[in-house]
Amino acid sequence: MFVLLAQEPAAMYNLVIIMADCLPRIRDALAYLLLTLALTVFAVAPLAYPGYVQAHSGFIPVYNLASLAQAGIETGWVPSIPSSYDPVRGDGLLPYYLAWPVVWMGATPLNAVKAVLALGFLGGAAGVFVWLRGPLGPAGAALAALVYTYLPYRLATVYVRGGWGEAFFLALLPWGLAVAEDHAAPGRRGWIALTTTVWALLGLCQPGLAVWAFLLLAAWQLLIRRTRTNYAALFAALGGMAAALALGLLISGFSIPDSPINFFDHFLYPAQIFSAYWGFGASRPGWEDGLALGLGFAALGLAMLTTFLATGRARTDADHLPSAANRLPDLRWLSLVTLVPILLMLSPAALLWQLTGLHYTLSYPWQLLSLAGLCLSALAGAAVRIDQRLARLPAYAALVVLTLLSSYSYLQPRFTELEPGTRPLAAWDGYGLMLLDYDLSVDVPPVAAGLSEPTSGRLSLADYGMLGPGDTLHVSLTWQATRPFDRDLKLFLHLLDASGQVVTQVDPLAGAEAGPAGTEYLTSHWDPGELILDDVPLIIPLGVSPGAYRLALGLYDGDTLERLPVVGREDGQVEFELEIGDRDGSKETASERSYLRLSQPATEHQQ
Amino acid sequence: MNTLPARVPSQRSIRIPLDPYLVLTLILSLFAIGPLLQPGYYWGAHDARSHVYFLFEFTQSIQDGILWPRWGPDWAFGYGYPFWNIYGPLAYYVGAGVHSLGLDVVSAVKVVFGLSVLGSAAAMYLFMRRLLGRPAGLVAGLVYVYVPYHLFDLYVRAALSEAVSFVFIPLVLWGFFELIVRPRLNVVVGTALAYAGLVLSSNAVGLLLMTPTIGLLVVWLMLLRLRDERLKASERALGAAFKRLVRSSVPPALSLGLGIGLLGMFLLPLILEYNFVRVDQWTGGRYAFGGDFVYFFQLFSPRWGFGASIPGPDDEVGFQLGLVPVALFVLSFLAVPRIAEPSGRRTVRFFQVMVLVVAFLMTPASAWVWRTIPLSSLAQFPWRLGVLTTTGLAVAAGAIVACETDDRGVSASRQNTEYGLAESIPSSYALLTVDLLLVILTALIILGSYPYLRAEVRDPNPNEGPVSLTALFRYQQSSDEMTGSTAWTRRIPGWSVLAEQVIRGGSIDTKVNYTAIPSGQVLGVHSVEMDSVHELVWVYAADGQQSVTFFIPYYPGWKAYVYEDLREPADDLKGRVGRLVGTPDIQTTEYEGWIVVEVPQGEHFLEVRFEDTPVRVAGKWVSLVSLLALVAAVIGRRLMRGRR
Repeated sequence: MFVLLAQEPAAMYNLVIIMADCLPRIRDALAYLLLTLALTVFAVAPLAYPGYVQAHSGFIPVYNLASLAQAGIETGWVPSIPSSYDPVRGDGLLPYYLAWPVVWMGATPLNAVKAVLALGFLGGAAGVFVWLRGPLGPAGAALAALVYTYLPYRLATVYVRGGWGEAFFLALLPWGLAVAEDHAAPGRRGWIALTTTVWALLGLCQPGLAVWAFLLLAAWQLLIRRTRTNYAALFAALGGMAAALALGLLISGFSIPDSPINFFDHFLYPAQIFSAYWGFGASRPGWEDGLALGLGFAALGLAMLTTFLATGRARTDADHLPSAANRLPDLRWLSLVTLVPILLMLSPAALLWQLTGLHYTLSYPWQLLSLAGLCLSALAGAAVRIDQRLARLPAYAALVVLTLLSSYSYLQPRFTELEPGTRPLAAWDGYGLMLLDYDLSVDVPPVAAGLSEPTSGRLSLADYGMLGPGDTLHVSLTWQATRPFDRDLKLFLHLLDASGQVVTQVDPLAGAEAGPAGTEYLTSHWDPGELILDDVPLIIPLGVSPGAYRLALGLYDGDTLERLPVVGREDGQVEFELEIGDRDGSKETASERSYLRLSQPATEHQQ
Repeated sequence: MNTLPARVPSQRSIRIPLDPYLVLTLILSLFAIGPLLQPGYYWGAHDARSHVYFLFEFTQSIQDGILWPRWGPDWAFGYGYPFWNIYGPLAYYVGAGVHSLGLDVVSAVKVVFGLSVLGSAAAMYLFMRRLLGRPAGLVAGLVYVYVPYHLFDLYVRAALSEAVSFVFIPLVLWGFFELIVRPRLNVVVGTALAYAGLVLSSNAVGLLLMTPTIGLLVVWLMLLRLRDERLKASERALGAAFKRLVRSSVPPALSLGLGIGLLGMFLLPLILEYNFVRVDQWTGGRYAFGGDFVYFFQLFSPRWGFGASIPGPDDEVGFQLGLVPVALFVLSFLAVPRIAEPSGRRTVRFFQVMVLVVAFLMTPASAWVWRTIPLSSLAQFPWRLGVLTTTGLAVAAGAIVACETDDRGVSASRQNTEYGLAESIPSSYALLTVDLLLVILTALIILGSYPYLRAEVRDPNPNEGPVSLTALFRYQQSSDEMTGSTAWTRRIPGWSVLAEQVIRGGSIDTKVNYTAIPSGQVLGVHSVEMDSVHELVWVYAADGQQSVTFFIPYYPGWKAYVYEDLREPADDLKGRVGRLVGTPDIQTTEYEGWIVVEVPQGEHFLEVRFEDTPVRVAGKWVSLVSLLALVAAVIGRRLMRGRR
């Protein structure tokens, strides 16, 4: 080719001019892409916390990933938590398979989950940029990418709900739209294969939402983009999605469990869409949702700005560019398409959901916030394309700052440094409630400290030594709910001897001392994802013989006295080993032991 | 090559041109001092109490006639400590000046904080106006004030010295920039003064943080000039280019030398006498370096609090860089390539790189770097590098607007015309030319930090205030602050009889340790007079084996003098002080390090006085000579100008 060009100097000159012309655009595009990725730092930074977030799903993704890492890659693997895999509405398999290599390379499952979530933010921003760079230009696409990244719904999906399958779906969604653009001309098999693959991956993330994403793709192709409809891409997308759904159904044995959530209880009120509310609670029936369900000031405000700029403007050259890929989308249709998911989230749409049966694709109607947000992001970025002055600094800087600032206060998740392990210690109600950790400590008797007044001093059992009769054992339990409970559960804690007889027991309400300053914080008030530290004292009776004992704990309904079954156990209780010593005169008392222990110099581990 | 325009000739009228952008910068900075305007004080801020009592002590010394205090008489429960020998006093000179106008100590501290905010805004504005034009100055000045770390220094730490240092940082940077790009004598002088002001306001910021930064900036600009010279020069002219470059390094070196010279009376004792205090109290315990790195997520977290910095990721304070400054910093990478003026572009680039490097140095990942840096322990907390990120973020933010001025066809060099706009348009219309979008951007800068513009004002606890010597001792006891000891002190005091005396309603009239006087009437001591740095006592010794102990830990500079007792007049002890008969060596007690002076047999007067050591005298001479050189340079330049 170059030989030919050398023989045709005019062609060579034109090629050079075209390349010189393209290079600044490529450089500009790269600069804006890098800028976009750099500015996602605020969204990604909380994942760098040396721990995890107290999200609604708890450590379930971590447990499932640990299970996958242990089992190895196999075709039939499904997440074992929750107990039954939902191939339509549940978190799909793709994020787990993405995280597995990270674990294989030596990362902990927790860090692998965080890495995938971080990749989701970066990938989503890049996806929006690639998707909209043609129609909106680099500056507009970058702005749209930032609006999308900082949508309150996206932040809540990661940091409040812990919906990691959905989070990665949201990252892939713009890529699904990008690959189906008309530059993927029909007949180019590579692009068709790519489109099929991306949409299959979307289906493997969140199959139900993928159905809605396909509808968005169809609307984009048929109505919004003023180009020839890429039917091949549509069919490829449909095929990929269907394949993913079929795979999910096959793996689950074609079983779709009933959703524990009543879809029709969770429609939004219009005020919620415009609300700046941010919370960590659950979505509850009615308007008192504990979850942030707004579209966000930046998305709505900038979309309104676009509407204002677009209204009454003369058609510009941007509408008539020879390259269809670079033409501004039809903003009227884009606005209408944006309205559709918003209206579907409101209660008047209930009949439509019931008639179409589409409510089986989602757990909550407000999951369509993701699609509405994506459309609003595109609208927001269009402002810069319509009025080129907005693409120049400092106006552009003001738009970017406004976008980030409107969501900045939401970037304070509830963190925890708790190490999750590979499984919870116990789970009830289909992993709706989990016991993550427990700790044993003993009250230090006042005499031991040489004081005449009672103290609140405690030692961990490991430091205290052998438990003895008369000691007050504190069992500190770390609970986590993954969904709301509508009743207060009771906890039983039994000390069992070798024959299984109950030596002593306590039956407080679960969370009886879990609130601030030891106040009540019962299960009916527990927010999903929140770590609850519950301290249960148990006095070892005097006269108890030394030997091996067991602590058995479990939950039961205080009204019916029925034990809640423990997942994977038949006896409805969890047991821990415990050793109790004696109190004869030849041996020092526990109090004397603890006094001596307190006053002794540093032990070996401190040297 | 200097691409800047010639200075616009000023009009002969007396009218002082008012830069509307400077006025706007100052007005918009007023939000940052809002919390200071509340009645009361934020006693709970980390160093809030310390700086109040630093000023309290400083004003006492000034009132005793000591114009350059070195010894703090009431540190360590009344024993004393050479605090001002190792700590920059500039903020307290300003505070003492305000206090002398009639304000109480607490109000004076607040006024100094307020002045530091306005001064820092103005200083950064002036620097960036020079670099990239007035709009850039406005944006940079506001970012500089509203960066969360600056507000953290004001209202969470109440770090008075560091807050004052924020004023001098841009001035020093401006000066050294000017010395590379367009050196002149008045810039040498001004930069030296600014550098001296910086170190005197905060020696940690000035010496540990800014001096290396300035050095790197100068080297950076000079290396790029060398590259420019090489590109323009032929092979034979390369040597000449290099020589020109070496010559161009003379002004910054001269200015730095002059600045260090001016600091002689402070720097020499600081460097040579620093080890005579218990350094472990500055670098050990909770000040030990290594436990207070900033986690990556904390740099971008909106968390804000007034608690403590604790090891681990759950600090009760915020260490964020600030959303708006970071966003503008990232966008500046788009803007900088379009800045026409090379020196300005290169300077902004330097600060862009500096922000990235310094942010890294604040994180735990940089621990291996700190282990290789000498004197790193003196930094105490890595997050103190926030001073540098604040500066860098402000400079980079200004570049956003500098680019915009270029796009309009108004070059940055034209924007650098001194007060050009104010001269061409009547001042009453000047503000109307401010770009609306610029106003929106500045509003967002303020809005981004608005939630942090608060202080936890409350009444003082009994161990904090009202400000008095009693409250000072209670504060020392409850907080273990202001309890520094000299190197002669092996047992750090936890209380003292002097403090007990004051708490019980008395006062400190003498520092003689009367409990050390043996029984048997072999030694009699009576204090004649005392101030913060000297005490004169009348002493009777039955034999030559007696000594007087003072509740003063020894530190170089304390001298003892024995005078003859003239015996007349009988009713005026001070009038009986005769000729000097000896200068006994000072000894110290074993654990406390208290001054012990042997006295001759008979009746004499004994004086212990804190004086200048040879190091301090040398330092004073260096400062004096430098000051004279500075004055001579200024006068000489004016004379030469007059002749022209």
